Amino acid sequence: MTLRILFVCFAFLAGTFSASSAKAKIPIMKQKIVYGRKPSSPLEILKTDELLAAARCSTDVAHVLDHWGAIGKWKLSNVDMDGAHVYRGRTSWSGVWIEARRYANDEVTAFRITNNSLTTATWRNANCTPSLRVDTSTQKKNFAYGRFSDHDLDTLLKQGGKGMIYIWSPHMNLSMIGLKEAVAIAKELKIHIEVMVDGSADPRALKDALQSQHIDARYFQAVDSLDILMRHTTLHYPSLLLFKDGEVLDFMLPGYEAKAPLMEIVSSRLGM
Amino acid sequence: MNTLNTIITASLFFGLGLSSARAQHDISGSENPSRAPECKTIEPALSKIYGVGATSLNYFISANGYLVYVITNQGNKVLDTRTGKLFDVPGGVDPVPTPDGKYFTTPGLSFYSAEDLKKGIAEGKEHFSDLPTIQDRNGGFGVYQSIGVLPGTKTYRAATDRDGSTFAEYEPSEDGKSVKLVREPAQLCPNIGAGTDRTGSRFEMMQLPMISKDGMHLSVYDSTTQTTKIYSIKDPTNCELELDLGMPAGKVDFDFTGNKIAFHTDFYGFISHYISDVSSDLTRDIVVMNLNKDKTGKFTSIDSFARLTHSLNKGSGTYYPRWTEDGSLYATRFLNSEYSVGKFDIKNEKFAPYWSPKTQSQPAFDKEQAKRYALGALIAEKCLDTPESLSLFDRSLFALSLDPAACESLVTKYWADEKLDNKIKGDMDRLPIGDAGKKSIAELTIDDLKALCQSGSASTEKAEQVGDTLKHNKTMQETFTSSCAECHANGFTDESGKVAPKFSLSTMTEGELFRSLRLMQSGAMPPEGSEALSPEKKKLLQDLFKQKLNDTGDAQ
Repeated sequence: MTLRILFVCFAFLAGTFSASSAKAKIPIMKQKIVYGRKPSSPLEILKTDELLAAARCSTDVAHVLDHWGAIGKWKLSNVDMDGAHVYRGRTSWSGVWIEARRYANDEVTAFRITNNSLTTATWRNANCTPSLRVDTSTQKKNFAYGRFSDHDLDTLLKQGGKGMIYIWSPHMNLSMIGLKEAVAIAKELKIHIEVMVDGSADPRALKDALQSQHIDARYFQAVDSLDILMRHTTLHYPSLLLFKDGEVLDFMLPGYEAKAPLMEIVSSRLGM
Repeated sequence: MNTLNTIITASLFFGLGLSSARAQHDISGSENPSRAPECKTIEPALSKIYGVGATSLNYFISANGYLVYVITNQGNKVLDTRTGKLFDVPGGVDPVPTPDGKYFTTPGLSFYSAEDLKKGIAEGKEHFSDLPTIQDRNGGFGVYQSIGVLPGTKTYRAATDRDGSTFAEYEPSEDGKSVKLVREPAQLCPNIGAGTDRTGSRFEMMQLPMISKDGMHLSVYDSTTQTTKIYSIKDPTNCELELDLGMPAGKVDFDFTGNKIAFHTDFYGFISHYISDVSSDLTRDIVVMNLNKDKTGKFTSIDSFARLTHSLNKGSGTYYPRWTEDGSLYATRFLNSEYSVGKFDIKNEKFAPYWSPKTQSQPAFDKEQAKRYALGALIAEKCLDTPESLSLFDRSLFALSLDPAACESLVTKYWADEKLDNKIKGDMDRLPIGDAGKKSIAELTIDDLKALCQSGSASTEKAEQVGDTLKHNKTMQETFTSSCAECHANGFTDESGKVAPKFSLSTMTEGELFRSLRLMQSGAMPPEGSEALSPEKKKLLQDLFKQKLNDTGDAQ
């Protein structure tokens, strides 16, 4: 990787961040996901004070999360096998996510993630001064057929209305078959459909799809949106997201679905 | 406060001052000589690589015996792993064999005779796209079929994605020449999400269904928990949840013993791969888990865990690992812009005993665990761009992927470093391992870590390349299209300003193709100095085209 890596130590900001870590009085959320032992429960959303309840340096961590634009809705992403609870949350900026990892010793590490930078914040010293480190990349990939960025997603959502986001891959044939059906459904339901392609797809396969599958050239814009990728949309193509009222719904459908059931799912989810 | 906040924010965005450059190492030192040699990793399980030349592979594959079923841009094909040759088979999506290898299927549950296919290959036939279907009725239900053979019977239980998951059962005739639908398609696990409409909980909890080889278990991705789960489907109308893997996985494949699963996932260093072009950095690795069962055959826990690949190179990946009866795994590979099918022998792999503070019945955190975590912490500090972004567990798995000599060098060089020692101790403090665990770590010596480097049966032998990477029964037009279209379809200008002509491949005549081939034969293409082709690739192309000319008796 061509990375410009900076290690930033904000010792001089101790005055800012060394406020005493008043322990919140909210009890620690009981862990419900237990690997390999018990059924896991549906994901729950935590507020920031719940996420940081009784955590080390909680006030200071909260301060940084707030700075980073955290909207305060944290979803438990997974529990690592080292005992760490990993939470993810969106920020008030499109294309910027935060991941907070809370270790078993109640230490927290936070990551501010964009599509070209990763900022890591740790609180490992006694006075809760954060160490911040920024990793950035200047490397850019040329998407031969354009890309769909977080800015594009933002613009799409601001237009309002209801719609589908369909992501296909030339490496998954059913996703190409499903594309035509998804477009037809959008037309029938009179909703918007935004189509994009697997950003890791081989350019040769894309060219082949363009020439032999007769897929509309508009549908070759590559996914380059962190917001979309953070929703596990790369697990299995095609992937479908839905949006309404300016928000992407908390629902991701991986895999092909025939037209009739897909129509039902889309209309039901969008309340049509 | 606001001023200070502004400084912080500005620093975060622009990396202002107070910074010091950090060594840029990556774990994949084996593929980038500029990186620290002591960070070199190996993939000991990868034993063979089957090149498929310019054929564009879909990610999804299936395997049985010596046949690997793949999907290409030219329809379904089967790879004969004995020879590396590809053969056309019917359909354009998801050819999936039965576990006994007698048949293969396509979506909608059309059955074809794999015995006839094997016989034809043995007789030298090259195309099988006209093989007839042999079932009486296919049931016509859903896609993404997976198939098991019910224990002690010849009955095939097939599951598809319809209505979350739907199943049906089939039986072969006495002579094996036909297959009959014996149990009509019905909803699988109707108790999951019962009481909700089909687009409600049930549907969300039953995505990417895959059935085990004995038809007794089903794995599904549950979007309500964003994890992959395994259900018992002994009673397909009343399924019981047995295991939650705790992570999202691609389609799971159960092995033939019923004790192992394999899948691809991107959870290793997930976020570190977003820092340089979101999508192009995405990688996939394959993971194998040994599972524990109780006396009744119920999955009780995860026993051990291995990652067979470590695709930290941008935009690369290994997808959809599939088991064969002998315990081998096959998976699609897309590395360095080349497609291939990889064969993995897991006997060469080191497995990490599964340990989690949340599972009380698991072994205590002992010295072996301590070694792995400590070495993982050392690797993170010296070899990874963004060490914090990998969980402590993920780091510990890298300890099992290091080249033994590189690993020993890493330990020798850095273990005594006091600063690192403090950092590693800090990492270990994050583990909920109690006093006994902390004592295990405190007592570690450099020799303990060196012993870990050399432990196991990890092989450093290079995987064997099988098959001609560029010649796979392609017509001259197909070969020319796939080899040259990249530059010529839209014109191409190399660094020296030479321009490759545009042409429409679909209108090229055989004569024009031959003239182009002669140019290639003379070494005139691709332009000297062009980065379009490496010298190795150029030679391969020239050899191929010479061979094509020889095939048609037109060689000079």
